[in-house]
This record gives sequence, C-alpha cells and structure tokens, in this order.
Amino acid sequence: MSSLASFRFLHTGDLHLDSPVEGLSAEAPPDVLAVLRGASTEAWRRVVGEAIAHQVDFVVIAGDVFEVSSPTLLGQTRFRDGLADLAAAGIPSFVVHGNHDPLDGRSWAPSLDFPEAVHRFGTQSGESAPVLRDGREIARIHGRSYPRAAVSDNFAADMHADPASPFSIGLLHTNVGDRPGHHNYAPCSVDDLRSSGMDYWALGHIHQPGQVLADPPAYYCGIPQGRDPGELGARGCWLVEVDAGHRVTSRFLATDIVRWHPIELSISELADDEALVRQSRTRINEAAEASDGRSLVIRLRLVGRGTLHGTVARPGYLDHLRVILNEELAGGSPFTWVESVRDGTRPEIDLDARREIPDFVGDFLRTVATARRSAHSTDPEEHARWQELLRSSVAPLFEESPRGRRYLHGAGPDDTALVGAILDEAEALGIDLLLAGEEDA
Amino acid sequence: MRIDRIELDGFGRFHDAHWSLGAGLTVILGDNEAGKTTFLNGLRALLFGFEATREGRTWYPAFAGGRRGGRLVLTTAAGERWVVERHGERGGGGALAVRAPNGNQGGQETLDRLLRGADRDLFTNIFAFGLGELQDLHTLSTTGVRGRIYGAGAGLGGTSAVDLERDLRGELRETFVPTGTKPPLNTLLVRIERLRVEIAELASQPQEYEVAHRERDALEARSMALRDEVRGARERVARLGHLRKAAPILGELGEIERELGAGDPTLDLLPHDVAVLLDRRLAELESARLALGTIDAELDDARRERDVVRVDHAVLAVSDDIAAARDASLARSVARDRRRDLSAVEARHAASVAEQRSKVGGWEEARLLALDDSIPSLQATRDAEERLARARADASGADGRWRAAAEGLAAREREVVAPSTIGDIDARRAVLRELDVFRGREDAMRSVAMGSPAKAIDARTAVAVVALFATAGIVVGLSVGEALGGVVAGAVLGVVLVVIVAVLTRRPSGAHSPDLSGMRRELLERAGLTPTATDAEVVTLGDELASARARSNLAREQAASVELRRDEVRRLERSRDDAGDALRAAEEAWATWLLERGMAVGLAPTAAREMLGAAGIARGAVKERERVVALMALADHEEAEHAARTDEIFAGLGVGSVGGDEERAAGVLALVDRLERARVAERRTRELEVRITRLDERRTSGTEEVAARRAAVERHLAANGSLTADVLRQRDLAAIERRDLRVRSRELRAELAGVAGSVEAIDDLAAEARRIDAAAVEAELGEASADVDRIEAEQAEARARIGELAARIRQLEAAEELGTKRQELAIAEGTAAALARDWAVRAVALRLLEETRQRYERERQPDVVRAAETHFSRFTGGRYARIVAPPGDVSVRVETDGGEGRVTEELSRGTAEQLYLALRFGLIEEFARHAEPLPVVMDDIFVNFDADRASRAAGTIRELATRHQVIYFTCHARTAELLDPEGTRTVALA
Repeated sequence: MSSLASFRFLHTGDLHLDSPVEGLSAEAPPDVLAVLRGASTEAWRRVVGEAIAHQVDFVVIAGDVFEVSSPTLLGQTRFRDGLADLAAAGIPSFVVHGNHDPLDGRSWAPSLDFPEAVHRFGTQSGESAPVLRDGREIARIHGRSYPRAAVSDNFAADMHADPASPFSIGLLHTNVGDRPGHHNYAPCSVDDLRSSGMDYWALGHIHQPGQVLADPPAYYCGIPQGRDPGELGARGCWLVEVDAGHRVTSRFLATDIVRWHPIELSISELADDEALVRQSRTRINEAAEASDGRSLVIRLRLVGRGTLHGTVARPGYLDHLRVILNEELAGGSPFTWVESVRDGTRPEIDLDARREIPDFVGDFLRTVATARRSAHSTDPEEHARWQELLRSSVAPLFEESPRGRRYLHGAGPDDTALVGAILDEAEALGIDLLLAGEEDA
Repeated sequence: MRIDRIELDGFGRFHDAHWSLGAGLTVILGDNEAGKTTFLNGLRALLFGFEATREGRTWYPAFAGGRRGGRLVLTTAAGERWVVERHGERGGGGALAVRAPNGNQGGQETLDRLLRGADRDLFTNIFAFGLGELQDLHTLSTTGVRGRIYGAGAGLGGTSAVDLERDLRGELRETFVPTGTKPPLNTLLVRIERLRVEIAELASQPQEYEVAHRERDALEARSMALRDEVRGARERVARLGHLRKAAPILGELGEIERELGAGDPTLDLLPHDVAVLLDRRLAELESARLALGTIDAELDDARRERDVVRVDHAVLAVSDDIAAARDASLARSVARDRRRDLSAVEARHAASVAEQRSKVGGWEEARLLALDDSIPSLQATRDAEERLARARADASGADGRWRAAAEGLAAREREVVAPSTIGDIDARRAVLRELDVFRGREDAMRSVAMGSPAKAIDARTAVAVVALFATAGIVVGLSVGEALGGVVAGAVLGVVLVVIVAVLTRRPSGAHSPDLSGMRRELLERAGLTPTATDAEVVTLGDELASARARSNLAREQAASVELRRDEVRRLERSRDDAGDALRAAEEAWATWLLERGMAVGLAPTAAREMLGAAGIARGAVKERERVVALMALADHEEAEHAARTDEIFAGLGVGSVGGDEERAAGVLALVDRLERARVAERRTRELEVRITRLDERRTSGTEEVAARRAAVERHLAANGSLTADVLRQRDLAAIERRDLRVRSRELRAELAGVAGSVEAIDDLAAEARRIDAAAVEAELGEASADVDRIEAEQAEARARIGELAARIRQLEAAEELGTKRQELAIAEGTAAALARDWAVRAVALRLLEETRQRYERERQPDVVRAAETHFSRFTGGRYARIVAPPGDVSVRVETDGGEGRVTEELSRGTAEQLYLALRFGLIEEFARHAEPLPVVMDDIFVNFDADRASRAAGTIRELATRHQVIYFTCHARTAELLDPEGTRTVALA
C-alpha cells in the first residue's frame, strides 16, 4: 500500500440539468412551477455549496449532467458556473458523460469555456487523471465517457487501478447487475467492480442513492433532485472521506429542493366527504412536517372499498377535492402542493359474488373476466378476438388519430395494460355506472 | 301495471273527459273521428310528454277547453296505486307530478323507474301501436328499442345499458373526437405539436451559439490585425505630423543659437542677482549715511537744550522742609475743618443736656446727672409698674366678680318660691289618689248592677258553657268510672261546675253595695274641693297639684342654689378686700422708691423711667461735650506750632511774612511748586547729559558703518568686473537677455522632444526635417490620415459586431425559453397522458358494456323469437312454423312448415303485419318477464287481416289480456265482437 494522505471528495452525478418536471397531471401554480423548473439547477448549486462548505479536495461527477443530448445553453452555463465556483475554491472536478449526455450529442457547446480545473473524460479506455495536493498525487481518477447514448460494452471490465497511485477511484455511468427498470447501459457486475482494484467506485445512472458494494466501496450517487413522482424521498450526493489508512466513510448529503410524496388514503373508514377532506389534510400536514424543510409535491391516491367510492368516482370530484386541498396550502414557502388526487377505490361490493348473479351486471363482470383471461388463453382466436376488441376500442385515439398516434405513443396502453390496469379501471367504472342505476331502482 | 283511470282535462276534442279501465281487455269502439287516436295520443302524452309544435301547429291543443293534459291512475302488479299527472301548453315534458302510494311526489325519474326504462319510442312501437307502427319492422330492430326491451331484464332499474353507453360515448366525445380541435385532448395534442415545433426551432440555439462564437472569434482576430494596422498608420501620421510641427521650432532654435554664439560669453558668469545685490549694497550705504546724519542732528539738539536749562538749588536745599511744610499745611487744613466740626459737636451736646433738663422740669445739670439711671434702677421702675398694674387688675377683677355674684344672688333671691306649701300639696295629691281608687270601685259596682255586655254571659254562651262543662264532666267521669256511670258522673260534675261558675259570675245586687257618696264627699273635702265637685274638677285639681308639686320642687332646688351663691358672694368679697390691700402696699412701696431718689411722689413708674432715661442721655452728652472741648484745645495748639515752622522756612528762602492761615497755606503751595520746577530742571539736565554721551558713542559707530558699506559696494563692483554701478547694471541686462535666449532654446528643445518623442530623437527629427520639404510632408500626411480613418472605421464595425455577438451569446446562454417550452411540453404531455388514460378506460368500459349488451341480447333473443313463432303460427293457422331473426340483423325470415323460407318482402301485407304483431307480442312478453308488464294499446290493427287470421289474432289478444292490460281501439263492431264476444268489455267512445 502506498503512503496515503487523508482527503475528502464529493461524489455526485445524474444532475439531469434542464430536466423538465415530468408526470405533472395538473398545471402547477406559477410559483410552484418556477420552483420545480429550477429545482435541478438549484440542487446542483447546493452540491457545489456542499463541496465548498466541506472543503473537499475534488468532486467527481458520474455522468448524465444533462437530461437531454441537446441541453439548453442556460443549463450548460449554470453547470459551467458551478464548476467555476468549485475551481475558484481550489476544487478540481472530474466528469464523465452518460447515456443522457453522450459525447456524440450536443451536450457540450464547444465554445463554452470550462475552468482548467475540470477534467472531462473521453470515450477511450485507460484514461485516468491525478488529483494533486502540493504537487503530490493523492488520488487518481479513472473514468470513461459514453460515446453514444446506448452503450452495451462493459466499461468497468477495462478499468483497472494504477498500482502506483495511492488511491484509485473508478468514475462510471453504469448499470451494475442489470437492475430492472433502468437501461442496461455499460453493464457490469459487482465482480467487475471487485476485480478492478479500485479503492472506490463513484457510480452514476441509478437515481436512487445507495451502496452497491462494501469492498471496494461502490456507491450510486443518485440524483440530487427527484424529477418526477417516481423519484421519491431525499436525494443528494455523497461526501466521501478517506483517511490515511485507506478507510473510506461516506455520508449522504441531501441537496433536493422539492420532494415528491405519494399518499395512499383508504376510504374504507371514511363516512363522508368531510371526513375525506379532513383525513386528506391530516395526511398532507404530516407529510409536510416530515419533509425536512423541503417543498413537497403530493400525489394523493384514494384506495380501498367504501361507501365513498361512488362519490369519488363522480366526474370532476377529484379535481374539486384537489382544488380544495390546494386552496388551504396555497402561498406557503416551502410550498406543499397537491399535484393530483387519483381514484383507486372500488365499490363496496363483492365482485366475485356479484359475478355469479345471472343478470346484466353479472354478465358485464363475466365479460370483463373473459377479457382478462384472454390474455392467457390458449385459444389463439379467443386471444386475438379480445385483443382486437380492446385495442379497437382505444384505436380512435392512439392509432387512428395522427396526432394521437404521434404524441401519445408512450401514453397509449399496451396489450398488457389493456387486460391489466386499464381493464381493471374500466371494470370499476362499468360497475359504478351499472350499480348507480341499480341503486336508483 | 294497469291503467285504472284516464282523465283528460283538455286534449284535442276532449275536455274534462275520463274513462275507468279494468284489468285485462277493454275494447273501445268508436266511429271514425270519435277520438280513438286522440285518446291513444292523450295516453302517450300523459306518460311521455307532449310532442313538439310542428310548422306552427300545436300537437293536440285543448281546443274543446280545459288545461291541456290530465292524469292517469295506475296500479302496479304489487297493487301499488300511483297517480301520474301532466299538463303543458307546449311540446316537451310539461309539468309532471307523480304521486307515490305513500304520498311522496316525484318527477320524470320516478316515472322512468315506474315504467322500467320504457320510453316513448319503446311504448309507441311495442306497447301502444297502430297500423302504421305495425307495418314498420325497422322499429323493432332499432338499438334503442331492443336495448330497452332487453335492458328491462338487465336488473338496471330505470337505467338501461343503452343509456349508459350513450353517456359514455358522450363523455368520450367531450374528451376527444377523431376529427376536431375543441375537446381538451384534441386541444392538448395540437398544443403538443406546436410546442414540439417550437422546441425544435429553439434547439438550434447551440448551433447559433457556436456560429456566433466562431464569428466573434474571427472578428476579434481581424480586430487585432486592424489594431496593428491602425497603429502603423497612426505612427506614420504622427511622424509626419511631428515633421510638420518641428519645422518652425527648428528655425527659431537656429536663430537663438546663432545669437548666443555672437555675444559676450563672460556675461554668462554674472550671477543672476548681481543687480539686486548691487542695489542692496547701495541701499545699505545710503541707510548708514542717513543714520549718521540723524545722530548729528540729535546731538546738536541735546547740547542746545542742556545749555538752556537752569536749576533752583536754594529750593532744592530745603526740599525736605518744604515737603514737611506742605504736608503740615495739608494736615492743618484738615485739622481746621475738624476744629470747626468739634465746635459744632460741642454745641449740639450742650443743647442735648439742656433738652434733658427741660424734660425733667428744669432740674440743675448736676441734680440731673446725679440720678441713677442704671439698669437695676430702670428694672425697678418696670417691676413697680408691673406690680402696680397687677395689683390694680387683681383688685378690679375681684371687685367685678364680687359685684356680679352679688347681683346674681339678688336676682335668684327674687325668683325663689316659698317651699312652705309642698306638704299640703302632697297631702292633697294623696287624697286625690284615694279618690281615684274609690271612683274605680264605684264604677265596677255600677257596671255589675247595670248588666254590662262586657261582663254578662248571654244565654247561648251559658248553654255552651253548660255543654262544655258537662262534656268535661263526662270526660272526667269516664276517666274515673264505667260507661254509663261515667256519663252520669260526668253530667253531675258538669252541673256542679256550672253552678260554681254561676256563683262566681253572678251579678252583685244593689242590696249589698256600700255608702259611697259619704266617702267621696269626705275625700273631696280633704282634697280642698267642694263636696259636690265633679270628676272634671277633681281631674283639674290633680293637674294643678301636679304642677304645684313641680313648682315646689323647683323652688326647693332654687333655694339650695341661692345659698350656694351667697357663700360664693362672701368668698368673693373677701378676695376683693385682699386685692385692695395688695394694691395699697404696692403703691406705698413705689412712693418710697421715688422719695429715695428725690423724685416726686405720685410719679408713675413710666414717667420715672423716662426721667431716668433723660438723666442717662444728659450724662452721655456732658461726657461727649467735655471730650470735644479737649480736642479743640489740642487743635489750637498744633496750629500754632505749624505757623511757627512755616514762617521759619519762608524766612530762610527770603519770602516775606504772611498774615493768616490761608495765606500761609498758599505760600507753602507756592514753595512746593517752585521746588517741583527745580526738580524737573535738575532731572532734565541729567537726562541730556546722558543722551549727549550716548549720541557721541552712536556717532562714532555710525561713521564706521558708513565706511564699511562703502567698501562693500566697491568690492561688489570690482568682483563683477565693473568700475561703476551703471556699468554693472548694463552688463546685468545683457546677461539677462542671454539667459532668456537659453530658456527659449530649452523650451524649443523640449517642444521638439515632445514632437519627436524623446530628446534623443530630436537630432534624427531635425535631420529628417532637413531632408524633406514641407509639401512632401503634407502630401504623405494626407495619405496616412486616410489610412487611419479607413482602418478605424473597419475596426469600429468589427467591434460593434463583436458587441452584438457577445450580447447574443449572453442572451443565448441565459435563454430560458427552451427550458420553459420543454417544461410546457412535459406538462402538456403529462396532462394529455392522464386524459388519454382516462379516455382509454372509458373507451374500454364502453366496449365491454356494448359487448355485454350484445351478448345479453343474443342470449335473450331466442326466447322472443320462440314466443313470436308460436303466435305467428297460430295467426297463420300453422302455415308458418319458424321465424329466423339473426341478432343485430334488421331482416327477418320466416319458414313454412315445409321448410320454405321467405323474407319479409316476399310476404303479403297482412301476413307481414301478422309477423310483426307476433314479434311484438314476443317482445312484450320478454319485457314482462323481467319488468313490470306494461299496458298494451292497439289501434285497429286487423284491417289487413282476413277473417280467420283476425279471429285467431283476437284469440291471442284475449290470452295476452290475461297477463296484460290490453286496450283495443276499433271502429268496427265486428272487430269488437271478435275481441269481446260477450260485449262485456266493450266501451263505446262517443
């Protein structure tokens, strides 16, 4: 082991600057939208602030600085400004590019001047850069950028520590272990990480911060600011301390401005509208108090079976509830905003029992069950008939309409959804409508 | 359900018309225009509302009168009685009221539920039809009719699957339409498209940024090159400008240098201040000369004055005596004033003594001065005064008190009442009290004798008392004996008690009263009244005696008081006598004191004290007078001495004798003045001597100074090569001129250095100027200046463009528009996705409902068709055995019993109508299987039936009437007979 100086560095990445806030189903008030839009940039400023406040020796940025391959110049300027602030504080930065900002794109305006203290890794393997203190190398960063968005090569396998360096850090945007729900770019295994000889792996790509490996320490930095309702909880970066004995300790620093918070509220115990509003407010207030001083975007989902199901299923009711809840929350800073109220409730009936009754409602439930079963039917005709029947029902919007086909491509239900979630909700809706008539009878 | 009663308040030809209908079949027979169709439409109107006004014609207006509309009384299968009332003047629902059996009132929804989803179309086509509807097979196949028939059995109450599907389609259309832009999802998709275009345009900003950067870099490089070019051109312009500027300077400089070369170079050695120094040396010499002249003049003046001044030495020799005489003379003047004051004081004291003597009555001075006015004496007068005053006050007070007491006593003694009558009064008052007692007894006796109501017992009271006592006796008796015995004993005891009471309360008789008048007379006499005195007189006497008794008590108290006052008067009399003795003793002691001092007896202490005061004042005045007299003698003596000494001085100085004090004093003053003048002359002489000595000394040094200054001037001239001051001044002027030339030369050189750029460059510049003529310089300068202007213009243009590019670069770097648009797109896409998902759910739900309904219909239709087959076979006498009606297919085929198939178009009109009737009956029965059976109304549908088939159809209708209420309108008596052979259910419509 080489003699080692103690030092500390900040591990961040997946900044996704310029990333629009996704998944908003209701237009946010202007002040809320302004905060949301600026949240990723503000989080980057906080990362820079944390680095300077903790007087780190350097910062490593593990790819996906920008959300899109053609980021705005404003985003680039703000990223550059952050790097410049770090450089002004004597903190060098090391950057690799990920799938969102590969080097074949237009992620980096060539004319934008970056400080000299910034090292951007290229696409070739074997590149490394030293971190110097008083002219003496205290660590060496090994990194490799994406030449294009979709990289299927195992970059980690070609990255090896320099035995002459006192401390080697691997900086890579990668999917370790083929994590589901993420593009399997620059895939590698934990064995690849182990065999590399690195003393620390600074990883990017997975937005949930966490440890991948204990020895050598390998961490996903996560995203400094959650961008959509799927990125819940605290987000930030890692402050890594390396002592003279090669011991590494990592501390998570929250840098997010806004947190996404889902609330599931069961209606089963709620007697009426008033109780629903009251309980919703209670849950929202609890969430706000636990938000660690962050602004909060709430997605409220009503679930369960109960007498209120018919009420919440009424057209416009949930929007009305959202407006009522937001009226009380309006104007707060940090803000709490109910982004949507969604209905996951079910009627207070036993569908299995109801399905057995030989009437129209029973027929309807049996029809739905048949459609659901068709997904797994061994009869290809039956399968195709139902698939066609369901697909044709939504085709006017998603297939036959040119704009729908073009712009709702990602939003259109696939075959799985048509016999899954969509079918479930259609069943609930149909039951609501049919039983409304029955109740009236 | 059946219609029990129809009431038409006003509808077409009917006004205030009503019909009661029974269950089962009712045949309404009426001629043409009897109102059958009006009746049928009235029924439809009451159930489903009024048809719209068409071409300005109201549908069945109430032209016969009344309010358009009426009411239906309905009874359900469950026996519930409902009333449906509807009125309206125009088309539409009008005013509907549905009264439930429990009295609640509802509207259209209630009626819909009551009719189990049957609407006007269904009712008109299936349940209440005429020949026109019967002939239209299509009405049987419309989705609405079919859906409602099957929906009635769907368990959906008043809501049919068809309604749900229609609502869902409406909701889908409200969100999205395949062609259009207004629904929200369509709007969003258009917006997404527009945003994407805008974003694509904005996404080109980085390229613009790069282009701007490249252009700016190129322009900056060009700008740098231009800067070099302009620098060279400017240098050329500058150099040529220098040459142009240097030419006149160089010319002047040459002339100066030539002039300097021709002049006396030794002048350059003359100090700059040589003339100043010369003037200063000459001024110093002149100043020394002037000072010496002044000294000589002052010396002459001093010597002349010294020779003039004379000193009076004789006076100076006796200056001390004169000074003493002067002081003594001044003292004597004061002493004389003092002597005069003393004389006045002596006279004043003598007058004071005389005044005091007159105060005491002209006593001799010695007698007055002999009076002792010491403090004890004065105190003795004050003591005597006080004692006398006190003794007099005591005597006067004691006398006053005695007199007042004596007067008070005399007054009291006059008021005293003689107490001698008190005993008599008391005796007479005792007699009056006896008399009062006596009168009381007399009244008592008189009241008994007269039966006073207050004392007598009346008969009722007596009976009550007897009864009471008897009862008491019985109670007592019972308490001591047996029952009967007790009663007897009680009665006896009561009687005894009554007797006792009677005895005790019996009235005193007149035979037993004493002789009261004698006793009264005696008492009256003893009281001092006449024997016949009345009670009033007795009372008056009593009051008088009481008053006299009070007065007697008062007199007794007054006598005691007079005695006490008498003792006091005596005591005060003694006090008065004692005070008089004390006063006399004090007066005697005071007289003795006066006699002892030779003062008149009877003199009051105050007067005596004043005499003592006069004596004291006189004594003081005498003493002071004597002191003043002594002082006056001393002053006279000193005056004499002073005169002697003064005369001696005068004699010594030869001044003649003087007469009085004033002349002597004036002579002394004259001597003093003479002495002062002698002293001034003596002092001035000494001062002049000193001054002359000093001026002599100053003259010597002044002479030396003049010699030294002259030598300095001569040295200065010699040192600067001049024999005279004028020569030196001329040389100095010449030297100054040379120096000015040199200064100008330096200025020109400096100017040249400025033009050439440095001192070192002057020579080169001068050399170049010598080589090039002025015209060539001007021409070249014009060219170079034009170059500069051109390059600078290009440079400014480049700078402006660089500025524009920098601004654009900054703008691009700070541009939020792309981010904003992307955010807007994200929100639009998110919202569109949510809407699309909701749309998809509704679309799938719709499809599922459609699928369910179609399947439901498919499964139910065989029952309908089977029932229709039965009816159709019967109508046709078995000719047609089968009906084939594919679900959803408008066309219906029939097959004969031989298997021959025919489509409806191949059937005769009557057969086709029979087929449609059969199908309607099938549907009616299918509806009734799941819902409330509705009344069936038919309007002369047998028109095209032959007699057999009409008869068979009538039989079928009769059977149907066993399960449904059937109302059949006809204008044919034969048809009525077919349907109601007994004629019991036929109603004539008049």
